[in-house]
Amino acid sequence: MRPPRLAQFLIGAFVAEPERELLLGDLSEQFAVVRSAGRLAAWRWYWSQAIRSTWHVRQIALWRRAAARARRATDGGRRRIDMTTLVREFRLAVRTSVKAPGYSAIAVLTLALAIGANTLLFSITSPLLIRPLPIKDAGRLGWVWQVNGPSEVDRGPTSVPDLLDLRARAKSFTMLGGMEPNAGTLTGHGDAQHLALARVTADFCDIWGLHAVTGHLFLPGDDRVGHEASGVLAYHLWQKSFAADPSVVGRTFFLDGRPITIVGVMEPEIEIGTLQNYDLWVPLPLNPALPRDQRTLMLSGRLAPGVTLLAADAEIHGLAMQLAAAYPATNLNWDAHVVSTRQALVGTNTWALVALLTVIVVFVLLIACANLANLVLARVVARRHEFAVRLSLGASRLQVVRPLLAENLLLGLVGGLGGLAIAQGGLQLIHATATNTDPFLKQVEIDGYVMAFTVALSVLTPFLFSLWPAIGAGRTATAETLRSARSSGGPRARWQRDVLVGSQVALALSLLVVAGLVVQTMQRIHEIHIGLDVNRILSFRVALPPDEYRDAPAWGQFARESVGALGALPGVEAAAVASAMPVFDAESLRSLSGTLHDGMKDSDRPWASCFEGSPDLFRAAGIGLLAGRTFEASDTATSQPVAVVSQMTAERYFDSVAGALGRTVSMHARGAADANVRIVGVVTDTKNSQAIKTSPQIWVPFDQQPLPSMTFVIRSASPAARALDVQAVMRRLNPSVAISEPVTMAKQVHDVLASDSILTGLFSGFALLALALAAAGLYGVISYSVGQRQREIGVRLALGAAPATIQRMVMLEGLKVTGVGIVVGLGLAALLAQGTSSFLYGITPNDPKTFGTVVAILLVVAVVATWGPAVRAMRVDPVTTLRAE
Amino acid sequence: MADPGLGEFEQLVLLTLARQGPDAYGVSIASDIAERAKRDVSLGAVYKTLERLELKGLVTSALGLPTAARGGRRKKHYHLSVTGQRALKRSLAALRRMTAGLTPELEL
Repeated sequence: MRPPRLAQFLIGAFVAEPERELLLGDLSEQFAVVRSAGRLAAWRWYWSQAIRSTWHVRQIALWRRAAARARRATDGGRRRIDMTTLVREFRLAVRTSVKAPGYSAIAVLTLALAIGANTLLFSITSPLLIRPLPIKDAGRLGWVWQVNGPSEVDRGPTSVPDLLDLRARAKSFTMLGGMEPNAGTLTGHGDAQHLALARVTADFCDIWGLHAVTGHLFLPGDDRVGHEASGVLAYHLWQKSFAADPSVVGRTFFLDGRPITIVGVMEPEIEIGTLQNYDLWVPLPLNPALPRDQRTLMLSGRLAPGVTLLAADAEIHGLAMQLAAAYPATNLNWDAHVVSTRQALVGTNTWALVALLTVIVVFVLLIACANLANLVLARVVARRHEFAVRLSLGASRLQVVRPLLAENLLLGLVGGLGGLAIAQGGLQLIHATATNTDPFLKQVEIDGYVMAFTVALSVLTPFLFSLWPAIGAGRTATAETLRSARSSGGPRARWQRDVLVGSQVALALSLLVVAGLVVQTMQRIHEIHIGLDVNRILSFRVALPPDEYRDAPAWGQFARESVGALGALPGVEAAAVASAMPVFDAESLRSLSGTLHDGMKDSDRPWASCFEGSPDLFRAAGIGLLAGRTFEASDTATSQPVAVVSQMTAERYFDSVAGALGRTVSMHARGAADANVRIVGVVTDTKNSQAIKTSPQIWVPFDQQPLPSMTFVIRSASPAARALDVQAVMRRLNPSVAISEPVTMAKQVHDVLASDSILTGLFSGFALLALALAAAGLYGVISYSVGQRQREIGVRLALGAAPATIQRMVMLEGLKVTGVGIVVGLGLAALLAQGTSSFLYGITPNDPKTFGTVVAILLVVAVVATWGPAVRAMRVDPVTTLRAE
Repeated sequence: MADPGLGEFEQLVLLTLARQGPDAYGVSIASDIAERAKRDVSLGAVYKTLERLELKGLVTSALGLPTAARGGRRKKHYHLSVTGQRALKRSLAALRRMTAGLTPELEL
């Protein structure tokens, strides 16, 4: 009769060594004695002993654990031992790494590339995501945006009367103020200077919590109509034009001919993003008589205590509805909502882009990890015997795995250093490519946050890629491993490798698809014809000082004289003036009415972007005439008001180009009576300010609606060479009129597209990196597998298998994994591509050509990567292999 | 530090060790206590007490060789350390002093 097995099993499950052995031994020994008392009694004795003893012995284990914990807590000497273990471990790691230079070099290179890509992207995104904003308590700031669905406005400014109404009615905000970009000419300090102005309500600086470096900021009442006579210098202008002289505070200059007293200098911290473009801060008079459709103010306000953004949003939305009902002529379809500071400073598209790029670099990191995990796995399999011996000699799993982790941690840190260098190189490239239109990209740098990120990544990545193989190593079945003479990785290791390579292929495929879509989008954007002859145009802007040029006839006069003088310059084919240029300048929208075609609902009011231009503008800018005529010198302020419409306007509102000619439309101009103009011509379309879309446009003669700010357009075979002559002519005409630096339109286009090139570079760089890593992974795994199976292949060849069959077998093995990876990757890519849809242009997210091409590329790469090892397998010499056994 | 003294069961275990010499192990101790003290003790309770005595330094132990009767398992031999002997003596002397003169009432 044997002791009850279940009782033995329970003791085995609940009692740890060494008590388990002692207890089971004692019970067996005594059971033999007790048996004589009868079967049942013996059985009962055993069970009673087993249950009671288990209870007692478990307490021993608890004491031991508590004692060990107490030792650790009190014994300072113990920690010293830990430190020396750490040093020893690290020294060992250095030695091991140096002894395996191939593995170390590949690991460091892979890590450097992956960490470098992540660091580079993080240095670009961290200012957007985590760096504190120079605004006091930015979380309690709400931004009010006007939204107009039919006119496709989604982050629009607000008019002064609307602001005053919102201020009076909204309870969600304790303060609500606005800012409006403007331009002006500063005189009284050296040469006339053309300055970018930030016009702000008096409470604006309090809302944002801004501080003055010297002097003070605006005071309540500074923005009363007729009282605006104070100015705050931007820090950079104070440094540049006033040599940081504190005594500038209190001095009076002239802004557009009106006296302005400098009251302070703005703190430099605010000069981020577009805010760094402003040279001078001036108060904005809140004139309630201004028209409601003159929407120029970007609103922001302090949320009242306890009010959430959502609650404020709901209230502002309701108030906008009230305003739309009260003033349908100006506010119909205008909604408003409240967004957070980060949302306001970073466009929604930017968020999506950041998210997408983040996904991509994380994928790159994962691919790199998969590669390295494979290498580690191979090393673990090769060292199985060593691990098994150490485990059987009593080493704990952690002790066995620790050297492995230490080695990879070391490689991770070295790789992190390399990654920093790579990221620094990438940033320099970005700085060189970025232009002044994108000051943000000029500013990105490797700062403390980025460093911390890189260090964290360098430490975490090694754990990520050595954990899986390490677990396997710790689990090495000792007896089995020790018995088997050869160390060929078992089916488990093989399966692990296949999973790793398959996921690499899947990740690389989805990255390539996304990169393919984005790069094609960029190409299409570069190929867009914006409708202007960019290579032959030089342009500059002028804002006339109002003290000298007080009214429309004076503005028109100045424009005519300037065009005449510029046109007479040698090498200039044509000179013209416009209120603004399509594509490059902001548009002013006008609603149209009149003899429009039928079937248009009242709510879809026809609208067009209105530009004023001089007679030669179309010739100078390269805008083609399709029908009728352009403007002539006879279209003056006193002659009949005329207009030229773009092809799109004609086709959308008058059904055809010819149908528009001769019609009269009423243009609703802000703050003025409706102007009735007769359409005398139709010209070709140009893109709108988003550069990729066309919208309806209407042109009127500059002479008939002159403005004090204007853009000059000079057509020349070599526009850049005309810049100096142009400046001289303008200075001779009137030295107190400041002009912006003449720039060729080609350069402006280049500047606008420069950030796109950087983006394309990032996307394609990351995707190529992923492809290279995946290819290396595939090659490595197949190659390793061939090495492992040399004996099997040798036997097959000796038994008469054709070398070609062997080659096919090896290649099929690699392609099978690739195939599975491709199928999974296609799903992943489809998912990821949907996320890109918002910034694709001229291509759909599931473009079959892109998907097909990427699959083909991966297949080719897979064939190439498996070819080498397959050929090697074919050439295995059966005799040598078998003799080696 | 004040000597916390010995518990009753600890006394029994130490007395068994004193009687059995260096060969004492789990079963022998438990059956001796069962026989002489008429107490049904579990082996686990014996181990637990021995572990505690070992931690106090009153008992030392050594692993023996595996035997067939134990299904090829080893046993652990315990014996009284010098400190253990002294502690046991002190404890018994205290007991004797406490019982002196009480013999008739306690019917020993």
